[in-house]
Amino acid sequence: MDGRRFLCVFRRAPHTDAVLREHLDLTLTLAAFEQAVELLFLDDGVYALLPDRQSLPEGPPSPAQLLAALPFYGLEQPPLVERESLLERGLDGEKLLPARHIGRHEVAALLGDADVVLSL
Amino acid sequence: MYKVLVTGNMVTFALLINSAPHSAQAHAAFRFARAAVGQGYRVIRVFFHGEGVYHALPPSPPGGSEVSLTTRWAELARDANVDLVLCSAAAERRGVWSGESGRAVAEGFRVGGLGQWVEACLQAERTLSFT
Repeated sequence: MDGRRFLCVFRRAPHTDAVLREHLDLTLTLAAFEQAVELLFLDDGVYALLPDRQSLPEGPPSPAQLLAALPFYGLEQPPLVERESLLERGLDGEKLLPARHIGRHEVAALLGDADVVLSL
Repeated sequence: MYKVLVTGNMVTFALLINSAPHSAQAHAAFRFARAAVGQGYRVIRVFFHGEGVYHALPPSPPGGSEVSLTTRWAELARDANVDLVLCSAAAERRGVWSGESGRAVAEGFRVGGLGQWVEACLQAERTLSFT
């Protein structure tokens, strides 16, 4: 099996952590199979990068914990977040989980470079 | 009816469905698959994840006038040799399937893991997600 470059785009608000966690599971599985994976948060998806809202000690790992685990799956690069999406939602001054901020004009090239784009 | 337009020699598809069967996205996914198959393209695998696993609930007894998406997928899978796989973790979380009780999923579907989705992504020439 050849390797492909995947871009996982998170565009929806994480109304429940469970759904976000499932999407992250999918992303981490790609990484576990040694695929090149990038994560991009845009539109309402950027809300996922707000620091932990509520994580129960006995519950499953929170999305924030899963995001923090990305390097252990070989994803050395932090997730990408679109600057304009943050600005439009008044989140540009907020403290966020570690992510690299990119401009909207860079998104098209990212989409074009990926072999597989998964909109989640 | 969808018209599937691809350039070059792209003839195989893998589909990811994250949406529940009543959603517009779920119907779009089915119409896409049916159109692709109808035009001679091959859909190698459809992976049901998240809310999409509800597709594999056995359809209620006949009587209603509406044919469920579950039945239509099963027919397409049979006619065009499409592999319908649902994520075991997502299905178990929603009570659609249970490994322990042996609860069966709808005919035509099988339970698998995320690895099978990765495999499909690597085999297919085009991958689409319906979220």
